Amino acid sequence: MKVLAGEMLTKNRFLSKMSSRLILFLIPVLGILLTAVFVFLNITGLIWSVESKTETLLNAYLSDYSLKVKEYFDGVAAQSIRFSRNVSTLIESELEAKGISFSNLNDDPKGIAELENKVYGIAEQSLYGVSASGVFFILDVTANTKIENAELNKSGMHIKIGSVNNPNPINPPLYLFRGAAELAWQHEIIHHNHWKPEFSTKEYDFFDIIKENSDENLVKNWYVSPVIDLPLTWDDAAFVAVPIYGSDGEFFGVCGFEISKVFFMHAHTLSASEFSNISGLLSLREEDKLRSDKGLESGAYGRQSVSVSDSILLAKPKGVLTSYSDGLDNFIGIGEKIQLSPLDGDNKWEITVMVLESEYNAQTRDQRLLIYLLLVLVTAVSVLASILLSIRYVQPITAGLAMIRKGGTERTNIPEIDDLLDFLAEQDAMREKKGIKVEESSPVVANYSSFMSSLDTLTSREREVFDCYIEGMTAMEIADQRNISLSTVKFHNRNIYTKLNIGSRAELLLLASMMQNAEIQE
Amino acid sequence: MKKSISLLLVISLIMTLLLSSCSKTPKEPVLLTMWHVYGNQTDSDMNELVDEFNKTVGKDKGITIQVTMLANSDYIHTALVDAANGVPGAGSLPDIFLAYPKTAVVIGTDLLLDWNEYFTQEEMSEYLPAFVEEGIIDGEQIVFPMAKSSEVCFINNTVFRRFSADTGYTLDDLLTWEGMFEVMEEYYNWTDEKTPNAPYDGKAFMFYDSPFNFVQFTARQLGGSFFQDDKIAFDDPIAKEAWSLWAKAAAAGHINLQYGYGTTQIMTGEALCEIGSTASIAYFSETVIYSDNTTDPLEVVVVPFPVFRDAEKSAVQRGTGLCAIAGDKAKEEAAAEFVRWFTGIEANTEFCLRMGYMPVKNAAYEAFFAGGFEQIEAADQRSLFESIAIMYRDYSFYPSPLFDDYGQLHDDYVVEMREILRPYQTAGTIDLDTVGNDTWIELENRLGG
Repeated sequence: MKVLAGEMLTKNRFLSKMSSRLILFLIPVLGILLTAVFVFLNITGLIWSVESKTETLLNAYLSDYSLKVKEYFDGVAAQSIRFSRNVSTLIESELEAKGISFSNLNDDPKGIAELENKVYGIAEQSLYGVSASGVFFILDVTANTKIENAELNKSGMHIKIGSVNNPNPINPPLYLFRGAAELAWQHEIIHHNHWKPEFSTKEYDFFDIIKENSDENLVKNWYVSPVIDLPLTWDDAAFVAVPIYGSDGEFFGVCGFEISKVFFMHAHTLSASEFSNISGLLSLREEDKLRSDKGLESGAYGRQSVSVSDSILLAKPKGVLTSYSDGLDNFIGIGEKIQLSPLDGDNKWEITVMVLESEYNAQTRDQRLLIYLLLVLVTAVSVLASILLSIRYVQPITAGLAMIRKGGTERTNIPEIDDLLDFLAEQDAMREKKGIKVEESSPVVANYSSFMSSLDTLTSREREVFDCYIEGMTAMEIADQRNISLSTVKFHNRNIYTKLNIGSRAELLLLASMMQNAEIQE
Repeated sequence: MKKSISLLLVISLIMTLLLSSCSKTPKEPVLLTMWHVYGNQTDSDMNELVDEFNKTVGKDKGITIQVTMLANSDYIHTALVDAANGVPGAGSLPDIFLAYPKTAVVIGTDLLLDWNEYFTQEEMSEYLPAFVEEGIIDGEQIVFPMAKSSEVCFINNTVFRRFSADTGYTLDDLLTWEGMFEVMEEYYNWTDEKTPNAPYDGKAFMFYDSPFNFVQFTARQLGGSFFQDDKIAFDDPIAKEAWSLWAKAAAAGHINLQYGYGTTQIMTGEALCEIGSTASIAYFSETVIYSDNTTDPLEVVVVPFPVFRDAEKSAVQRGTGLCAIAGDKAKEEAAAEFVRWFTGIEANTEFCLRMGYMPVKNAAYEAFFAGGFEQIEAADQRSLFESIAIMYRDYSFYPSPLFDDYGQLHDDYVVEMREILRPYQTAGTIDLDTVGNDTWIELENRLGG
């Protein structure tokens, strides 16, 4: 109980000190400062809008990516249409020169090879005029109608560029994937290791889609096929295909360009300074799944380039964004529908940009942490500054007061203290003038010798308290310092006053001051 | 007072550290672009291994390897040289690529990483010395051995059985050059006789993927050399003899001189035998496809590289190695990480068995041949490795010479050789006694300068 009372006294004493009060006064200032910082963070959107900032960024990337992809496929389609018209003209002139109909090419391997050889030059030039990984034309005839599954076989030519990373070298390596064997020898290109002389419409299934649409208007009859798993090759590819019609409307076949997954990735890089792992994906939407195995991708960092052929992404809404998972990694992104060609039909293309969820989480966490740490830093610095300011501000004042208490008259350069000194000097002067100067013959002075002689009668405890008074401490401070109660101090006071024969604290201090002066003079 | 200032400084320091650590981005992923030769345009076992690396070690260490070109070594050579020389449209060099030392020499070894910076001598001693030495250029390990091969004969055994039944020649006859030339002539006649009304339309028996190797290694087996310094030894009778053997057989139509690879010639029925890299095994299909879209089953059997009777058994040491572009430390470290993983016993042995190569580490190499190859299911692959085992027991292996213009000389030789000899193949009757000499002079006129 005694200890508790002491603690309370200490606390009160601390709180009543000038420096402590100043700190308390500065706290509202700190509050105002923090509020200002908080309002600033809110207004600038730094604190609450980490997700919406990412959403805005991803939306911007999506718009840009979507526009580029759309323009790209339109461009390839335009080149395909030009290619189709050229092939059509060449077929008609070849048929006319030989005096045969198109269907006469069936069961004529030599005639087909000659036609393919004629078209080769146009095909190669068309390929160099477009950004694609391969060129093809499929003719609606076969070299052998008598073999099993002959109805699926179609002649034609499919040339692939070997350097998918860079389709525009002066002499790209060309591979004959489909077409008469002699084409490769005549044009000194390499047979693809899984070369075949003819196409199978089972593999190139878009042939039937375009044939069945039977629309001679090429502008309305072009098609972007989902990615086809080309048998025994590593670079699966999508195709932009248009029909080849004769001038009389006879269907000759289909032609266009191949866009392999790896080629597309290199031709349409997607990078963002905000994310090191951003990916763009053009895929087929099937309910809550994105068939990336049927689509094309950009941005090599987040998802592996070659290993995604069997990848299907599961899409789940996550706030304003969407969460995607391919079983190996999770992504956060945003997507929208896109129409690639007039014959999209059941192909629900979706274009998406996404970042690795771990990177997204790390980024949002970092941003928040940064803001919180900034606030903590501002608070800590402000509190410390308050303490330092208080100490520096109050210290000269307390020093000045202590100097006055000891009878000093030195100027302090603190106007208020100097005013006090002046005031005390004036008071002394007035007292002197009124004859109330402290005379040696005054009762107090007369009492000095008895005071000095009585000092020895004080007990050690009383002497301690007496010394505290001489040091200028108040009763409360003595109680606090000596860890005794105020009533104990008063008990000692009474004894001290009685033994020293003094009547007030002022008299005590006066006699003590005389005693100190005498000691100094000695 | 001092305490307060110290406290303020400490808090500021802690906050600075905290802020700097929280704003620090995670380690940047390293993307390595790669050009390689393993698999060409087929399903590539190398690509599968790269995928496996990306998903395991690569994922842990933030390394992604992306294959951006898969082509034969000749094309990669051209593409690298073009990229290094800034040829328009050639694009930039890949971070890592498979190439022969000749390619590294042409593009400049100062561009390339010295693997010794990342591999200690102790580590390098784990690799077969001959394979390591082949990749040392001017004292630096510029080309790192990844897998090695030699040349063997691949035979369409489906047709050879019929030929053998009619003529009595067997696969053993193909083990010597003397036997090989006899078989080639007999096969031409055998096929020619099938169309009595069309003379001189017999078929070539052999296709040699790297015809420059024929003259080099037959000259070596005959005890000489096809080169003098960095040129063809036109004054050397052994070099001339090696050329004459080739020229006579080619002029007579016994050797297929088409552009491309022997696998395609076999698969289109245009040749019965391919001499080529052991790695060709990966590129055969199971059928021969003819121009009318009909097919025949294709059974491939492999015999060792032919040698002259009583000559030293020697063959070429082939196989590209890995080079890396120097300069970017993160990429260099990532490349070294991949090499360590790929040449590790497990991955390397698996790759070699699938692709027809030999592993490069001593331990893997010894284990590779010690166990036999009965466990290999595919008969053609089993046949290949049995032949390789014979060769590595009995043969000496030599890499192609490494001089500055070797690559250019190689390309020029192949082009000129075809141009000189192709007209003979369609000329009907020819005087085989003079072909060797005449064409040697013509070759010297074209390449001797």
